[in-house]
Amino acid sequence: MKQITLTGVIPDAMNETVSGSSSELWGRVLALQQGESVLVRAASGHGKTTLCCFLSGLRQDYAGSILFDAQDIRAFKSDDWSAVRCSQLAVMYQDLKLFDELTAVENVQLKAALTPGISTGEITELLARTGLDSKTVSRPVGTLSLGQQQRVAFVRMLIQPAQFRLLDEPVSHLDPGNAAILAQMLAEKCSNDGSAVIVTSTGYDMPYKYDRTILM
Amino acid sequence: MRLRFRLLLKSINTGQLVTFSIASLIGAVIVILGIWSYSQVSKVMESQSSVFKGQYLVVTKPVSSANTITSLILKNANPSAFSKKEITQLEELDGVSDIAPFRSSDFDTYGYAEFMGVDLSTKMFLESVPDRFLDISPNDWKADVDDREIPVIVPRTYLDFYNYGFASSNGTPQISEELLSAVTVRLVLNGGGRRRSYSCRVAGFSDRLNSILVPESFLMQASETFGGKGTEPVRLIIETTPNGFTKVSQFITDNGYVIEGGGDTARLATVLKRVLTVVIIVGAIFSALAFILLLITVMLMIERNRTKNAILSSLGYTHKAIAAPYQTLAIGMDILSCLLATVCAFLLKPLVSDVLAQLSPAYIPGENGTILISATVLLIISAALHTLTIYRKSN
Repeated sequence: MKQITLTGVIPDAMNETVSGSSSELWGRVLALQQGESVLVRAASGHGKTTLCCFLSGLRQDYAGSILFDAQDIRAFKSDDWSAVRCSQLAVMYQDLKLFDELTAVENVQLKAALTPGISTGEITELLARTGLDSKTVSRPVGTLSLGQQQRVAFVRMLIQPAQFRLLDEPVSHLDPGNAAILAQMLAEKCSNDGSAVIVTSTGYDMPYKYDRTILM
Repeated sequence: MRLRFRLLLKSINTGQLVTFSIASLIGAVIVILGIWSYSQVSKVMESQSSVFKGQYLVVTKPVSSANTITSLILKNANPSAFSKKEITQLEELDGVSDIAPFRSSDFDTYGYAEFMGVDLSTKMFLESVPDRFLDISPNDWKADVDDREIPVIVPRTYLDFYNYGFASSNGTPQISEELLSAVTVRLVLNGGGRRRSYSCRVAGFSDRLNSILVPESFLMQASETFGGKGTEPVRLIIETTPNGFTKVSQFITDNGYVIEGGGDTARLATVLKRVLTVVIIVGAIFSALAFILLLITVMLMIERNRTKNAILSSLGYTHKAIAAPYQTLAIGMDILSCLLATVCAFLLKPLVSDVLAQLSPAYIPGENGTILISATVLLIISAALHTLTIYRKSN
């Protein structure tokens, strides 16, 4: 996948509020290219998470169209979405979508099982770079703080091969120091695989070198 | 895979699974053992037909109080007689290769004999069947009404009855077939204003036909000479085709007729087959309920894991992969219950074999294929249905 194109996309629930607004995304034509980095900034309640859900195929309650290259994602079947989520689009959800009863390592392993070739050692190393020591990563995720959980979800997103990486408020529970570490890891990954980065933020931004900022 | 299984099967309800296992085991044992027993009873019925060489059946109508009263009120009516329509129906039945009525004497017959210095006399009757239905081929089996001597065939059971019953209890000597054949019996036929005496020769002993038989041609002539009224047939002799015994005996039982002698086992086997059919149906219902119970248990588990399934889907797991742990659990339970049921069926099999061995001495137990085949079929059906239904429901 080289390009994501949004044409006149308006969430059904925001149909009336969006018309006449100054949003640079809803109701407009917007193309996201592979290799670029985009910051999508908006106040709470303006549809950042909704956008992530549309792009990752979890929701379809919108008007307009979203194309992955030339394919309208409304036509995707269940197995098509599985393929996209395994190799083309890596997502870090705002609600993290972690399994509380599994350890940090196991949560990442569960994702790694879809793309063979990533060892437990690599996973532990990546988690350690985010500041999670071996004792912490061996505990069930449910017992970790939100900030620690956010780092686990980040690593899970990072290990997946992808052309686009979508991060929904990835540092909302992190201090600036940890946010910088994550940004550094993301930059290294993207420079290696050439993937695009789309990050959402309410104003406390991930310190990343963005090509452009879109205001919702 | 291990992680996914651990994650999704964490919410197993052990109580429900144990209940399923018990219900499934009971159902599967009933079905497997029922099908095996059914096949064994069929074998007994087939062996029954091979025991009776030639597969001859003597058929009558049952004697009831109503029949007796009817024949007393209507002097000429014989409710036990077979009508032409009934005989034709039997004649055209698939499995019947030959059929003939017993011809009875319609004149007075008296027998006189002197045995060991004692004069014996009795009123009796004679019957005949076409020669092709006889189980022996006596020499010179023919007679004319003008002859002085006529041959007769006597049931071997008569001689046995005398030797092992009467003679033993009264202290009189037993007599051999040869000795009885040497005894001269005088038959006096009387009717139509005519009377004639014949000397009677025992030409042989029959195991198949339980009557005093004379050559058919003689009885026809005698009826014309001494009788005239004629009699309606009350007994029929049927020869079945090689594999027709089961079908014919089933028809006879269904129509309320009675098979003399060997028919009892056939009738019992037919009843057994019907009972077993009901048992198999009950077992199948049990199995179906157990199947639904396991399905509900797994469905509840899927419902409890709805969020987990959604997360796995959002990570990129296919529906097939998400359904796999539930399907594995269901198939595992199916295999377990079918295996246990097979073991139970093998353990319970001797009980059924004993009953069948009493039913027919010719029955040889030892066939295990039916148990294994029915257990495999049951397993394939339930595993396939569980796999398909769970896949659909987990989507």
